[in-house]
Amino acid sequence: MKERLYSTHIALLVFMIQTGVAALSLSRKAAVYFGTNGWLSILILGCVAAINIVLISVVNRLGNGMSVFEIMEKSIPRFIVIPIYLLLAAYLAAIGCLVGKQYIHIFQLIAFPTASPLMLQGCFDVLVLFLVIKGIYNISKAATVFSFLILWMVFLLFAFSNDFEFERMTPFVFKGGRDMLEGAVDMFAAFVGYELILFVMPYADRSKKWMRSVQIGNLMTTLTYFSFVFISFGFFSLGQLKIMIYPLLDMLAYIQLPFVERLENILFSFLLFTVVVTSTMYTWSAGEAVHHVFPKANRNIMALFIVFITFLLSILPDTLYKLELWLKILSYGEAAFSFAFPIFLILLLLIQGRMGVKNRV
Amino acid sequence: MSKRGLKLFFVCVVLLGSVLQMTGCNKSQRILEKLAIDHTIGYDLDDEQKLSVTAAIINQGEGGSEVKQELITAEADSSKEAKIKLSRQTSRNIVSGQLRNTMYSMDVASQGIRKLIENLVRDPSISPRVKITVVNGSVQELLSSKFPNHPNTSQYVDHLLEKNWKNQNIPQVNIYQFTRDYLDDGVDPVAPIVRKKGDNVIVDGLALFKDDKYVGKLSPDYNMLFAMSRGKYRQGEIYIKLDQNDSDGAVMLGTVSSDKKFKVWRKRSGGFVVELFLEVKGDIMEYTGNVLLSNHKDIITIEHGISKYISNKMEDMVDIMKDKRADNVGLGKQVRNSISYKEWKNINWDELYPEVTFRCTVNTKIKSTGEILEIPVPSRE
Repeated sequence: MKERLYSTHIALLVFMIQTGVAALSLSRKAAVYFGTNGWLSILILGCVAAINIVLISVVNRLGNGMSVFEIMEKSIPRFIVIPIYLLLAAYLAAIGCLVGKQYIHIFQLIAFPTASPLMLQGCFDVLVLFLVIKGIYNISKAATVFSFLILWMVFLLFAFSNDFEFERMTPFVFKGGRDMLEGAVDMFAAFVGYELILFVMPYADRSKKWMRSVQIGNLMTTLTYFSFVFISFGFFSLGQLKIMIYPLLDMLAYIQLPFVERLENILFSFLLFTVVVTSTMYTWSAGEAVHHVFPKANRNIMALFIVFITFLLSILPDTLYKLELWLKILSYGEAAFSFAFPIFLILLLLIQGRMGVKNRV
Repeated sequence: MSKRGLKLFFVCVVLLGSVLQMTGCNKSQRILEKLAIDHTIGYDLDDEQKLSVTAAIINQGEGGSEVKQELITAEADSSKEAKIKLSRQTSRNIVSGQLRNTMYSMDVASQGIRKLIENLVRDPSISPRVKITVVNGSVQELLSSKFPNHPNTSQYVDHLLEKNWKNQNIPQVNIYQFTRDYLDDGVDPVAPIVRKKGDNVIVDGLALFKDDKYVGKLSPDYNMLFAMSRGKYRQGEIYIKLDQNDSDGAVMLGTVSSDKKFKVWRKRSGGFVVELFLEVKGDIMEYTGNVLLSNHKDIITIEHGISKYISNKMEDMVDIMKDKRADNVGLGKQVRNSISYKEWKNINWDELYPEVTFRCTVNTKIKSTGEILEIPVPSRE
């Protein structure tokens, strides 16, 4: 019997793809763009993502679990589809590797300033490669195990109860911010990742429940983000939040246990697991796209090839500033992609449905 | 296959983890005995008004048992320039990951410490819990003083501050809290002041800051009141001199806890009234007056006396702050939260602040009067 992805796996997988390094700067962005009580924006963005997932589930329902590649190949000639696939693969792989690179850059900032970033990136890519060649079922199982290493960290938020003050939040809603729309797109980068579920569709359990579990995954992400952004608005003052580059990291650095201080170094290491899953899933999706260009090629070798190319690509942005600029541009594209692609697929499916009816008539 | 594959994967994770750990053993190997661990940094101004930085460094002696303090001073424009200059004076590598305290002389503090703090926040190796302390006198002199009961001065001061903070005699002020209040509108930061006194170091009250500049000092008598005005006060002690006709003497209240609540009104003439409601609870630990503690009515008299004392003193404290134009209690925050955003942005709080009327209403409850009622005066009949 062929393996299937079950709903719990999918919920946790979606949660793990979505969460990542973008979370570190989320509170600052909420403060800069939305101003007072910017934490409310997290709920709005979570709803936007949920609506997007509804679009994806429409694709799933109309296409009856067909893969996105099958849907496209049904209506579009192959010579047009192939460049689209290659572009898609390049794009997804680029996001995957830059997310990893960003993690390594920040890790260097706080823990290993003298270690070679190439070596760290190499180690990271080997991890990603190992996961990618194991296939989607094992990736999701690993994501399940990894998620338990991350989820407990939500309890750390209780550590801030002493310095939390509601008065600091002010009664004003979204005052003192700027460029809210641009900011919303920028912040949305922390939510994207669920659109990769489009590529997972043919591997999933055929029941209707699994789309619900994508929603549950997104809900988990939204609540996690919400809880710590909310806490950070009462813990930091607004002016302070606006100048902290990674407020979450500063919050972790503030935690003190009777026997140990400066916990952020070890806690930040736990984020590796979610970043590995994010990076892996992007690389895996890129691999899926390439596979449809070269259906006969060996998947493992192809994965090796993609990871190698992304490794070379990740050498290019050598400063954190440059890297974040690249990621910002890519994430704008990703936000557009996560909406436009399902809509495009729905249109294709509708046309195919109508043509199918006509043919039958 | 899949189970074996996963097993293999986890083995790889562990192996790679160990490889990552080993990167630390490369050139940047750090041996404790060869490190100069920066414990306290002090900032003074010299005669030419240049910044002089003193670092109290802890050296782990060979063998691991002996901990010595070394003091080095350099003139510099910034703390980081000082670090480079300081490192020329020591045979060991200076590391700042264990920095616990930063001390500023009053001269430095009154010129503004924004830049100095900014550099501390910028450095990821420095903890946000590093304390901020103002020194009455020269920092270098304090750190270089020898205190017979405390061989390591920097650690002594650090422990002194920590203990006083835990007993709520002084507010906890670290880089995070100072930056937070500095960057919030409607509240100004504070910091504890220490001073050398004979063979000891003592807490000498609170430094009031207006933005990042030291503008005045609050005497240690106000420490507890300040703590009450800023947050929940737990497990403290107050010594109160009642000077009313019907209940003279002094009361010492133990296990004091307080809850606060602010209310803001508008004056008819414009401006604001901010009222602080305090509920103070405690047990009588010591009483020297001549009221009978067994009498419930008299207890109420004492409660009123305590309430009046606290509220007067609290209003005095805010007056001192108003004089210095420093809003350390955070009245601005209360006013801000009571009006619209547009109005808050339109008013100039700095100008309005001294005109704000502050009132404090205290409700004291004495929970118990200790284990005895009173020892009767021996009758001489």
